[in-house]
Amino acid sequence: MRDTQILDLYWTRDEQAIVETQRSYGGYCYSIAFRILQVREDADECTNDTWLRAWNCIPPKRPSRLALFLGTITRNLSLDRWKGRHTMKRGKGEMTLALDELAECVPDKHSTEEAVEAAELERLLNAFLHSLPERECNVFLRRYWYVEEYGSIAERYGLKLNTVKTILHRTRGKLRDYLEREGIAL
Amino acid sequence: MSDRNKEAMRIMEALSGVDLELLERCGAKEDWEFQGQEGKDHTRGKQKRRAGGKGRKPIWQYGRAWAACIALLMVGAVSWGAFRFVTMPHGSSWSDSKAGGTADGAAQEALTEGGVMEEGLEAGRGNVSEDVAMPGEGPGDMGQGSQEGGVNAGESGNGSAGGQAGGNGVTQDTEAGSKVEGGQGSAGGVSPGAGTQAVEDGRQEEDFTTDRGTPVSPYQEITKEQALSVEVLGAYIPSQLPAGYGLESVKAKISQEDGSTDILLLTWTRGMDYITLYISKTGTTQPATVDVDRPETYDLRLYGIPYGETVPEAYRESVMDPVFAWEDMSLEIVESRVVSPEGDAGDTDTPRGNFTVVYPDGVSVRFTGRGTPEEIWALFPVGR
Repeated sequence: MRDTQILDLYWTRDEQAIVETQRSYGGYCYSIAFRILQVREDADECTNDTWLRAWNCIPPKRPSRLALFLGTITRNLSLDRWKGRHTMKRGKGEMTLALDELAECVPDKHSTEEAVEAAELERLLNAFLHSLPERECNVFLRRYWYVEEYGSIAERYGLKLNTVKTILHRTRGKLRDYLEREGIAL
Repeated sequence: MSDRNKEAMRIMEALSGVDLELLERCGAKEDWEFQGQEGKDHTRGKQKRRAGGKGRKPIWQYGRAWAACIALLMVGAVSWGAFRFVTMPHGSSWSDSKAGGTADGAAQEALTEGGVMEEGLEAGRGNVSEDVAMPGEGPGDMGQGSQEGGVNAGESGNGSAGGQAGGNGVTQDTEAGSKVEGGQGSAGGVSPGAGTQAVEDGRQEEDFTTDRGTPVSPYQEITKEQALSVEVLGAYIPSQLPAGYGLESVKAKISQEDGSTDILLLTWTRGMDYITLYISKTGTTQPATVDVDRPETYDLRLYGIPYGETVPEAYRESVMDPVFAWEDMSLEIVESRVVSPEGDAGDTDTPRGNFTVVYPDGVSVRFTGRGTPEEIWALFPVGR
C-alpha cells in the first residue's frame, strides 16, 4: 500500500492504518530500535509505541516522507528508553560506543555560556551536515542516526573498515570545531 | 552517565531533527523498502548487510573473491602434492635427484664425521641462500655463501656448516649438474646422508617430518645458560656484546647420532641492528682459509657495490664468505670485512659484514651482522 493510502487511513481514523503501517515499516522501525536498545523486547515495545504515536499525531500532521517520520519517532523513543536504562550504569553495545564517540564532539564549556536550545542545536547540526561531502555525511548519519556498526557501514558503501573509522574520526573533529566556532555550549 | 555523555546524548537527540533528504540520501529509502517488503519478522534481530546500498549482491557477482579462493586452493593443492612427492620414501632417489653423482659419497663422508649437517657449495658460486636469521647483509647482492672455504675450495670435503638457522631450515640452491663440494644437507629437510644410510641399513628412512608431513626444524630453542654449558662450543659464546645489544634467540642443533650439540646459533639485536654467531664443529677436515697477504681475496673495501659486478669471478667466493684462520685474525682483518658501503647503508648506518673464524680445536665461528669493527673484534677475544 502506498504512503498516501496509509495516510488516508490515518486521517479517516481507520485502524487498518496501523496494520498497514506495521506491514510496510515494521522491519525498518524495529531495526532502528534494536540497534539502539539491543534488546528484542524493548525494541518491540518502541516499535509498537511508534504506531501509537503516529496514530496520535496523524492528523493533524501529514508527513511527506512517512517512513522517515516513523523512523524518527522510533529513534526518539528508543533513545529515551536507552537513557532510562543507562542512567545509573554504563552499558554495552553500539549505542554506548556511538555516544562515547560523539562525546568527542562536545565543545569545551565556558561557565558563562548557557546551554543551546534543542531547536537551535538541530538547526546547527543540519547546517553542519549540509556542509559535508555526501559520503562523509552518509557515513556520519549511518553511524549516529541509525547507530549502525562500522562493518555494516563499510559494506553498505563499499569502503574499507579503516576508511569508515577515519571518515568518522575526522567528521567528529569537524563537528567539534564547528560547534566551538559557533560558540555552542551543550 | 557522565556529563560528557549527557551532552553527547543531546547531539544524538538533535540528530533526530536532521533534514529528511539527508536521511534519504544515506540509503534510508532502501532500508525501509527492503525491510518493509520483507516484513518485521524477517528482519528481527538481524542486521541486513547490503553492499553499496543497493541490495544484496548475487553470490556469483563476488567474482574476485571466488577467484582468489580458487587460486589459493589450487596453489595449496599443488604445493601439498609437490611436498608429498618430495618426502616420499624413494630410497636413494632424493640424493640422486638433488645433486650430482658425488652426493652419495659426500653424504657418507658427512655421516662419518659425527653427523654434522653440512652443506655443499657449488664451486665459485656460493648460491646457498640462508635463512631469515642471517639475511644477506654482507655482500648482499650475491647472497651468502656457505662455509666451504676460500679460494681453495676445490675439493675440500666438509667445510663447516653454512648459515643455517632454525625454523624451516635453509633452502639450498645447488644448480643441476653442478659439482657438490663436501657434504650436503639442509637444516630443515630430509638429510640425504641419513636417508642414504638408512637405506643401506635397511631401516626406515630418517625423516624430519611429523606424522602429518610437516617439516620439523632440527633446531631447538634453548637458554643461554644451556648454550654456555655445551661442551667445546659453549666456550665461544662472547661474554659481552656491544652496547645496546640484547639476546634475541638461542638455538641448538642436536646430533641425531649421539645427542651431542653440533651447532649453536645465537642472535642479538639492537633495534634494526643484529649480530648472529653460528658456532659449529668443523670436523676432521678444516675448511680452506684465505691468504691474508692477498687482500683482494677478502677485503670488501677494495670493491664497490654491487659486488657482483666489481669482484672478480676468481675471488667471488672468498670475498663473499671468507674463512680466516684464528692466528691470522686482527682488528685490521675485521675492518676489512665490516664496512659501510657507500650509498648502500641498508636499514641503519651501522657498518655490516660477515666472516668466519676457524680455531685450532676444530670450531668455527661465523659472524654476520652489524657493529663497528672494534665492537665486532671484541667478540673474538685473544687467546682461545
